[in-house]
Amino acid sequence: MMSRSSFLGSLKENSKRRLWVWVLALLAFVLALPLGLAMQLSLAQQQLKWLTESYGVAAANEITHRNILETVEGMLGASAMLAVFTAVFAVLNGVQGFSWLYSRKKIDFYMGMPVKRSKRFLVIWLNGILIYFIPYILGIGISMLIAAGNQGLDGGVVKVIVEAMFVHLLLYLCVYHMAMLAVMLTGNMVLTGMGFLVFCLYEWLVRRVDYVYKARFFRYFSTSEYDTGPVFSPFSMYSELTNTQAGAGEQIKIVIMMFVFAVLLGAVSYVCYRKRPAESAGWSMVFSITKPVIKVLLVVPMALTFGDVIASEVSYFPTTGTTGIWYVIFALILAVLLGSAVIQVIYEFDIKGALHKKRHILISGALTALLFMVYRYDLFSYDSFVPDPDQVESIVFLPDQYEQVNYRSTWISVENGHINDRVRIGDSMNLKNAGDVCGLARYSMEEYDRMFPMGEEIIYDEDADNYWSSVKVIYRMKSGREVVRRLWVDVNDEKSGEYLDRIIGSKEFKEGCLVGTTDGFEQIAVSNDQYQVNAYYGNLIYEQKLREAEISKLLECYRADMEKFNFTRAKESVPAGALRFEFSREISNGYYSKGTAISEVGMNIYPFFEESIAYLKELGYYMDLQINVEDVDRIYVTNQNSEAYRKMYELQKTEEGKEAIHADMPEAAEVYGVYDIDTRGYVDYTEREDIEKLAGCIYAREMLEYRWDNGCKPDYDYTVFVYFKADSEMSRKAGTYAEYRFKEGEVPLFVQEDTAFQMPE
Amino acid sequence: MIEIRNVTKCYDNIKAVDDVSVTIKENTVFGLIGTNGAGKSTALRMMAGVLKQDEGEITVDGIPVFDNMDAKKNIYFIADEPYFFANSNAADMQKYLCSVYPEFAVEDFYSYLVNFGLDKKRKIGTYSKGMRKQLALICGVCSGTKYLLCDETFDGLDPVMRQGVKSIFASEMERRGLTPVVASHNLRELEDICDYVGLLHKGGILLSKDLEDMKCNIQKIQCVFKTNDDEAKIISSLDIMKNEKRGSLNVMTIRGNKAEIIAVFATVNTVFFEALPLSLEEIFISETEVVGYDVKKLILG
Repeated sequence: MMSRSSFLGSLKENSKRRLWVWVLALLAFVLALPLGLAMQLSLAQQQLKWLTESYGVAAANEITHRNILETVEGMLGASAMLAVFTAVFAVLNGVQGFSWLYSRKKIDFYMGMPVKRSKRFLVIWLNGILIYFIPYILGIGISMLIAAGNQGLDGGVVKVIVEAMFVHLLLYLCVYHMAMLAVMLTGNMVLTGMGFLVFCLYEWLVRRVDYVYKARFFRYFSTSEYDTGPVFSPFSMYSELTNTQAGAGEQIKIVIMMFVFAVLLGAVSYVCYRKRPAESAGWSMVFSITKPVIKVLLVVPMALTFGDVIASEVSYFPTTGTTGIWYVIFALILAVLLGSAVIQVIYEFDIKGALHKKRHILISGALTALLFMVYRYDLFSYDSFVPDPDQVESIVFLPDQYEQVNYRSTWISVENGHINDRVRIGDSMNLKNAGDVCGLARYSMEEYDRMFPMGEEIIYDEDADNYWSSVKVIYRMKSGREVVRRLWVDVNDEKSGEYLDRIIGSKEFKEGCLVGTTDGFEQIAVSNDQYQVNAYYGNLIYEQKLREAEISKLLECYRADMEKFNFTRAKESVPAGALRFEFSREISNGYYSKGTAISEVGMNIYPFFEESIAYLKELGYYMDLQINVEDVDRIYVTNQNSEAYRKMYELQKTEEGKEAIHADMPEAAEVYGVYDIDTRGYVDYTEREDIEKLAGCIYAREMLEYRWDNGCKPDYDYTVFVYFKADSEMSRKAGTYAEYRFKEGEVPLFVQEDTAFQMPE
Repeated sequence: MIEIRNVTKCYDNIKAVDDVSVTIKENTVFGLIGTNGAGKSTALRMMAGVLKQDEGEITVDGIPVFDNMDAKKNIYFIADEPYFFANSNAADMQKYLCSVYPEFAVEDFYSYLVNFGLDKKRKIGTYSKGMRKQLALICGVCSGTKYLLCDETFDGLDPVMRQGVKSIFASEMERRGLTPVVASHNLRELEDICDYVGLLHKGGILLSKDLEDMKCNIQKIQCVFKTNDDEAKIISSLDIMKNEKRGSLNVMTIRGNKAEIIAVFATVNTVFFEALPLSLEEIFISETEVVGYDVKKLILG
């Protein structure tokens, strides 16, 4: 037991030894922070004059007040500046507080004193926190007084400041303990610095190696599903926590993670402190057992990273060939030797020690080679994995951007904000027809491997009717494991189509992937207190805003129509239009992250969606054609004539061909030269009769393009620009023109003739 | 009493202290002699509770010393390079030590500073090496601890200062039973200070004895015998450690009590007889030569 006065006395004495850190912290928090805030508030106040001139007194006062509140929140909330201050002081205090462990003189002095090691640790540790937190609170207090003096403080701002204080203290503890652990494991300042960097970067390095090797060696690896960002890094956790998009549930999870992380590191640091031998001052590594372990753990991923760099340089892509393999192997060997040598030199502080501990070099080399072979020869059958359907609990099947209306999302979560696909599908899709998905996976992989054999150069057969689309599949195994793969599916293949009809036509798929299929979306769209929702129907050029009452009814019709939806029906159709929902909310979480967050959700309305179309017709929103002829001034069509271009290209290759070009098009050949003859055809249709004919066969670009199922697609040879009349409403809403397309195989004959290019025979 | 029993300490694979056993009695000045690398500092650091021994046991008044406050509050350790806080002065050190050693003698501290001519306000960083050692000694003496462990502390002190320290030791030993333990590589530095000496060599203790006992038990006699029979009688009757002959003059180092030796010599005929005083060096040389060591190389350089 230690008495309170003795403990306080020890804190005071310890503070005397750390006076310069106190001074720095006070300068940063008690001087710089309030001063910076005062300057920012002064700037905001200065804008009042011109705001008054521009908007009037009342509006100017309101804008200024809002700006002041935002400035205070921005500077005293979870800001980049405070995060940097926090991290810097955490490292400074962690290292400075225990730096006496580097010096034999200091160790003899301190450890010769009748002070328990545990008490000394506690005093230094606590003081390290107080040196940060007391100036922080003082600085915040003074800043809040300044803010209050400028009417820049209200309940909301105080809440943000208090929350930020808590978050910064958590960040501080994580980084502080990390720095302390680096001190406990090393015997001098240089090694501590390197150790701290390793702590910060190691997880990222390992994840990066795993990512690049999987991406290089495995064709069914899902790159987009792989997050190389470290999970166990205080900085990434802080970044996630202060992310404006993170919902409350996510934030609580991260706070718990950070707390556990800080406590664990603190505990490990204390154990290392207790076990640290006093004679280790000045050594490179305090615990000799850690030397080979750390060396090998560093050398292996560094060597693999270097190998990957060289692989990129020499274009070594094992899925399509073996070019450059020997360079890669040489790079791996060199990196193991150099890495081991450098670390051994650091351990011994002696260049002559570079090649000592040859056993470590051998172990590092063997592990590097083993890992390389694991990827190269797929020793764990990663790339051929398809689970036994009996072992699968449920499956997530997500075709890339399937049914996304011109890249508008198909999902939104009110609780967690707009969340990414990984979270979305993880939360919402539970396919039970594992047999179909596994069957499709196995069939597609066999077909893909047959078409493009592993290790051989990919040669595309232009006459083949294959179209390979990408699908992310997450197998949730009964064991609790999740396996993610990216499949390539031939969407033109009949057997694949049968599988896809069963998968995409399933209720679970629709509810998981296409959010409008569920009742839940209607609740979000019609009533929620977090978002302002605007809904539109149209082809993304022509759009009608829906009233709130209409949204519910339309969604009900949409849900009924979705029961008829499957892969083949959608593939064979061009959407008649689309529903677009716009969710917007004000975000304010720090100075640099203010504004309005808008998330959009899109839903295609196909011609076979009878109930939806009937209701839209009833409302008067449905358009039989994709344009209103009355709005159109002219339609400008360009034909690339790619076939003609290809023939021209062939002619350009031979002297005879060039002569033929000269003979048939002497003027063009003279003016542009044989290589620059424009094969495109252009026609500007201005007559109403032509416009009416074209209106029946053009589609808004967004309705035809970017289709995962390779269904009805545009004729890419033709580009159609619809120019609106200058006095039309569309000119104001959509701009001067909008881009349209012809559907493949449906280009009117007169357009083909008008835009055709006459080739020399 | 500090008791070291079968203590071993290794750094990596090097044995710094190897199976050392020694007892340091209270109220004596114990000198720990040894060459550089003999293990003196390691032994002292273990006694101070700074290092933890790999094997064996170290107790201070019967209490294990490592990380034990009950034992450490009785010990003050002055390292070979004493540490003082950066930019501090003697007064700052006094304040800190007062917070750690409740019985720190503040008045004595300032009195000693004056006596040694050290300015309490002057930054210790500007002190000479000798002055820093003096300050460290003053801090140690005033800490109020029973045991004062000094590692090479007398190295660099001039004879006047050493005499001063000796008198402080004497008065503190008399007043409160201080037990200084002084490590040095130079025997001559300790000769006039220590009562008890331990000789360390290559991590192990060669000998550990009371200096007075050693002085009383070894005599140096210079004599010329009348006949060879007289010489033979003496050699057979006494424990002769060493006998040097310079012509007819014999210089003998003899183990035993002075009176008894003189009595034996009285039984033979000598032309010349004289009992000479022995220096600590000579005693050491004689003692260690017996066990086969050339101590001159070890402690006299």
